[in-house]
Amino acid sequence: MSKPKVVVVDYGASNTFSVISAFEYCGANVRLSDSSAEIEIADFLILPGVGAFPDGINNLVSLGLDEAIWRFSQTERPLMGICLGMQLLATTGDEFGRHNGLNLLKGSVIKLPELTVDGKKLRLPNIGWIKTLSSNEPHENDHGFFKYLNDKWFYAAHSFHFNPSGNIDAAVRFDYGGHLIVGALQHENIVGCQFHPERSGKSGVDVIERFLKL
Amino acid sequence: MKRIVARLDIKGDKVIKGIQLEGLRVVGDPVELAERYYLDGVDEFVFVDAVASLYGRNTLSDVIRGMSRKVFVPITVVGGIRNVNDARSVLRAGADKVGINTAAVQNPNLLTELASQFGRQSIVLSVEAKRVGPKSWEVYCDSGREPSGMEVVGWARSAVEYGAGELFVTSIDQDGTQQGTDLDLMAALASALPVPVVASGGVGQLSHVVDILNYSDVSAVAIASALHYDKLTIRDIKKELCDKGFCVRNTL
Repeated sequence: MSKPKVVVVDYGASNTFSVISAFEYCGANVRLSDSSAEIEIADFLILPGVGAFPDGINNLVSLGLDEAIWRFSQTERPLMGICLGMQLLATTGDEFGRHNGLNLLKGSVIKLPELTVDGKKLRLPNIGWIKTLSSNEPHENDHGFFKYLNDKWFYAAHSFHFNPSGNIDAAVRFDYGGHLIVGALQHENIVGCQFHPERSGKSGVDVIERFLKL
Repeated sequence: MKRIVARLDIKGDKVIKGIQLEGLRVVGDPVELAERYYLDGVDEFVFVDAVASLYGRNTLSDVIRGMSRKVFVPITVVGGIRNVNDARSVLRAGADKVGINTAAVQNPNLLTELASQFGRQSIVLSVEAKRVGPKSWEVYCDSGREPSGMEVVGWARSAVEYGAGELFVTSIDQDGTQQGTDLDLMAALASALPVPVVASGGVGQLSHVVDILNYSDVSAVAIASALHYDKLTIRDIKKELCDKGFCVRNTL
């Protein structure tokens, strides 16, 4: 059986080496690419990213990659957005002003709360390991993927998060000072991880392996 | 939750360890030690490039790349990062965060430039501090050699405003001694700053880790010689913290 062809979108994000390494470790043939032609023939597409929303979206648009990603998403092949990559899939982002995202996930990217529900200060950026809450409801569309996301520790580093406004097939949240924040979600062929599966030890590697079987 | 971080001071392709940032002794191979700690459940690594000016970037980048293929937890690289290009090459080799000390003291605007290029969560202020009074510490540059004349809390606050998203603090007095951490230094910084603080320097026993987490609101504790000399294991530390009621990532 041939290795799955994974393309990691190259739009200037700095953390691509670890993403590539983790997917290769899980048995994929990985290319880092900014070519629409290469994106078109990928079996799986990964949109990585660390940094600010406006720079991210501007880079994608100026390289014509917004269209390539949109076209890929219409083919029903799996697409994973990681951290800023997931946020860029949203309708809008509020970092340094309101900007439009790729609108593949209905909702907005907004700042994390600064206080717990009891009024204590929270440190920002949120850097560290989050534990996703276990969700007991199986979801008809999740292809068995979601049990790899429930009740597990993952590494996150962010100041903004995705707040869904429309229908999302399945979302896994974590407790952040009493607030429930989306840690990962799946909508049709799109998987979004606010955390970094490539930096989340065994639980992260398991998510990547399972994603490659979608 | 509280993170347990393994600190590896690297010279060329070897892990070394000093005491109070002086006197370097080889303790092992970085990738071997890193794999061991990763399998034992470490949450994160900090690589300190101890003689950044002598060895080129390439040796360190090779070490980071080697690690990134085998250990899948975050890596911060500190040492010798002078500008955006240095940061970019280290991040492209697999590091998740870069730690800046001397270059930031000389030009704090560098923190702003780096944060805007790579995101605040990737930019760590590395501080090396030595006690100069009962509740006062001086910031040192150049691996603990050059006093800067600045008081640590004021400098750290300012650096965060310029763009640092996290603080990595080394107590020069306690480094390598295994006599316990500088509780007051870490408490002062954790309470003064809105970003996560990682405490480094002095852990020799399990009780030292419990003490620093009870005494201050640091987000993480970095351990070097106690791990490298096999005095403590990550597993022991996490079990102890769990038993004492701290929230730690369960890797058992």
